[in-house]
Amino acid sequence: MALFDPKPYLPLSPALWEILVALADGDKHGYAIGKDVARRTNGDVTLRATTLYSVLKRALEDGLIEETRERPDPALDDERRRYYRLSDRGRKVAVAESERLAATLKQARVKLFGRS
Amino acid sequence: MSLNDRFFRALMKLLPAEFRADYGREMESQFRAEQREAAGVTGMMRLWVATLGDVIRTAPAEHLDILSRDLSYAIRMLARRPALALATAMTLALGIGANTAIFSVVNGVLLSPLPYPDADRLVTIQEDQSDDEPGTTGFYSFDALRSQQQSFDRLAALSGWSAVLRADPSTSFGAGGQDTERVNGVRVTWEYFRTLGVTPALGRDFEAGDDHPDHRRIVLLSDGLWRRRFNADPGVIGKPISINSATYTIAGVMPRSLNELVSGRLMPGSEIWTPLGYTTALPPSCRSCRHIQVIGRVRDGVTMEQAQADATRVYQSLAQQFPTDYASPAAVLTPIRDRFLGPARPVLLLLWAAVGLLLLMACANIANLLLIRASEREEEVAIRRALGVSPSRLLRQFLTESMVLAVMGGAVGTVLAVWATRLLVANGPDEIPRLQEVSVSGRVLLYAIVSSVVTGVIFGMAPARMLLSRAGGREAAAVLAHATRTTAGPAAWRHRAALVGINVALSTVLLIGSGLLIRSFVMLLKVDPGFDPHGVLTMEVELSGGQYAELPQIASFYDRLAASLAALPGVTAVGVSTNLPLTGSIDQWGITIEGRPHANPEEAPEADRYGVEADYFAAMQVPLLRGRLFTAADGPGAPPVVVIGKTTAERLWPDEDPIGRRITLAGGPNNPPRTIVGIVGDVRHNGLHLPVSYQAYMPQSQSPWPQSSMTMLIKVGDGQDPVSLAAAARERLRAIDPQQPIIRLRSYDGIISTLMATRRFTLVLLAAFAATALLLAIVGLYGALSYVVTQRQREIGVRVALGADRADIRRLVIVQGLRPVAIGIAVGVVIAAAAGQLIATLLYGVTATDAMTYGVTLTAVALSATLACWLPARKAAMVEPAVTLRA
Repeated sequence: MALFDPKPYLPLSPALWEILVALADGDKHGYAIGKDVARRTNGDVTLRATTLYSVLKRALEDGLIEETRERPDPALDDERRRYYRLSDRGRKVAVAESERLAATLKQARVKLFGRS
Repeated sequence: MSLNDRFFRALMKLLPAEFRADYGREMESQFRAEQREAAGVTGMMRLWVATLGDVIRTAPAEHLDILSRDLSYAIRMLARRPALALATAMTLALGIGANTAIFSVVNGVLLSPLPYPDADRLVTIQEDQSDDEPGTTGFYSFDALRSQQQSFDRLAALSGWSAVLRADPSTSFGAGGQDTERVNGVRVTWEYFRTLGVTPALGRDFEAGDDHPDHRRIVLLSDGLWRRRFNADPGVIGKPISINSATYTIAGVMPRSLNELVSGRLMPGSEIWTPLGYTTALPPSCRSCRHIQVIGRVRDGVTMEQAQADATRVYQSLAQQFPTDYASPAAVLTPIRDRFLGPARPVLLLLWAAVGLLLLMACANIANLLLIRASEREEEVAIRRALGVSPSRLLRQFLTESMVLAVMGGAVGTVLAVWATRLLVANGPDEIPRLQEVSVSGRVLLYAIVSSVVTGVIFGMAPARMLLSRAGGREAAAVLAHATRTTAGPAAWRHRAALVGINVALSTVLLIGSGLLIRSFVMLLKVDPGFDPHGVLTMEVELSGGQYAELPQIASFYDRLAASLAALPGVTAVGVSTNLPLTGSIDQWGITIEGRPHANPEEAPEADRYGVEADYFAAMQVPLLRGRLFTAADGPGAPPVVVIGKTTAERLWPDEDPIGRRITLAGGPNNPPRTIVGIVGDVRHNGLHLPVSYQAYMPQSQSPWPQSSMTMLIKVGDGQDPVSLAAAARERLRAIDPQQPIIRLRSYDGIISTLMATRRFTLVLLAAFAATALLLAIVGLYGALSYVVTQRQREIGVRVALGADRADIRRLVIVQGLRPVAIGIAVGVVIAAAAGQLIATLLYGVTATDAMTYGVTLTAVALSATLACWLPARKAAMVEPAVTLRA
């Protein structure tokens, strides 16, 4: 099988990038993803429901994330929620994007501050 | 559920249903959580603004996403069956192309705005005498109308004018290489263009002072004439120009956009306007001389009925003052749109309806093809339904496929329409006004797009619904289990049979319609015009110049010309006449029989009057029935004589011999009674389809009034083409007087052919549509039945194996196919009988329910349908049970 090449997916849209990062440390439902993103970006990035699910839908179709059947303890669960997990493919894409961003950042620093 | 939640749910309706189905509940739950976090009214407002913006930003992209998926799926699906896709798209292209082309004509001729502001208030006003059709009026009446009416902003009168333009060194006229040119013109009262609401593009309009017998010699040129003969030189304004041997001044040029419908229809081809220059003191304005047309602009707030009553009131007061000049007159107002475009309306609407039916049939056929295709796709649908794809999603997908076909068909159809429109404009009859202005405009393109989309929905809906109801009505597993043996069930056949029935019905309607027109056309061709137009060249000459002011000079000119033409090789007879049958010319004179005076001379019956010279009756082959024809002795000084038509003799002298009786034609001074010396056969003057009129012939040399315009009739021997004499005839005219232009040179056969042009045009198009319709119906029937036979092979195999006779099998299939045909024919006959009145005005010699036409049509439909059934039936009868049952 040919090795998966994440390049065609790059650069990621800010929303998708934040969603992939949000899922990097564990499965989450939609609302939790939004909260995670808001918390990490100090509210700079807010994913409202329609945008969030629109991006999730496309990420699912592209195989970057998958829906998981494992659900938390029923006491903590809301049956309307679906839980999403970062797929191997999604992790590779996220890693590639973070490397791309790091390289971009490095170049920008050299230009702006004269050091990396 | 809170109000906020309800609003949110309503807002989500902007998103595609699939998206809502997938994520709606999650989104609602998230929105509820966000509400809990939003503190206070400000927080709620902020949440709502953000949510609203989010939905509005995202929704279009989601819809586009689904559309692009549907499109690519549809294209993949169609690519799998390229022949089907191509057949469908081409059928549709023909339907939409024909429709759009006819619509472009309907649009350009009937729907486009008239070239005048507030055109709805423009009317023609016709004088309606109790004994006649509404028509022209006299200048006296017009003058009274103009001064006494209270319902019109303006009124204007027009009269025909023939202008012979001669080269003048002071203008650029003549640059076109031709020294003398005769153009059709119109003499108008000064308010004519003001009534229409148009102003000259260059120079000035006529003014009140121009409209006077002593200083009326100014002209306005059409844009076309100005470009053609004056090189579009703006310097011509104010320059002199020689017209009919008098000097006129060019006052202005009318705008290019003005395609003058009123002048153009009343005086075809008119290109130049001059003031009428009448006063009631002039001889042409005798009360009973009715030779002018009147137009008016109805005042704002006045209804047509009020304006008509007002004009009628004026006429009736005139009749009271001058009882011998009017016969209980009334005014007839007709909006110019109805007057000039109305006559073309039935033909165009008929053709439009016909192509509309054709497009419906194309839809039915395509739907049938797609139904067959749908049966093959039952398995696919079942699988997708089992995978949870919603019915609305599937419906959308099927409709997208139909749309792709419709758009392909529409695109090719539009290209066809552009081409067909040009063909229609080039070959359409002159009788259809504004045909030359017809083009594929924005509105026409919109029509093509809308008809493509609508047809796409129509033919896509039936198969899509059938598929969904079948696949939805059963458990998917059951469908899958039987997928290999389903289809061709009774329900599927019912759908297809209904479509076959519709097609047969529509094609029956079209065939009956065109059959009736063909019969009418043949009947018209069989009508004896009373003269023989074959081998006759007509040459219209109009004398101008001071040397032709009096009757003797005019008569001498035409005598010399006739003698010169008679000497041409191959010519058997030459006649001259003021008036010709079937050319649309009108010259009616009242007949008063000596000893039978009318209380009111206006009530005298009117006869078509022909002032003839030379061998008129021989050239036209009008037979002498009794008495004698004119001889050289019937000249200006001899006793006045007249020859009448057969019907005139029979009706006016039912019990006696008219020969030797005396009649007065028109009356007035210098117009003595004439002795009837002969009776000739009737001719059809006004139209082959119209009844014979009263007819009276007199030697033109004995006419009370000179007429400068006459037509030479040159009859050639059998087998010779009269048009081949045109150049020689022109030469002979030039040899006598090179200054006199020929107005028109054409064969009489050509005149008759033009007369039939509208009928021929309608007939050819309708017959072509009807033939296409029958083809569509037959192909549809064949396709549907063939498919059934293929699907029922197994069952047929079983029947054969069980001992069924092959003839029985054949009969079974044919009966199955012919049942919807029979129903279709019956429905078609009912529709045709009901719609027959629509074409009643186009029929001649046949009724709208002509039994022979119906009989032939129905036999043709039934025979072709049987043939279409027989081929699949033969295939069914050849089924080998051993082969099919093993398969």
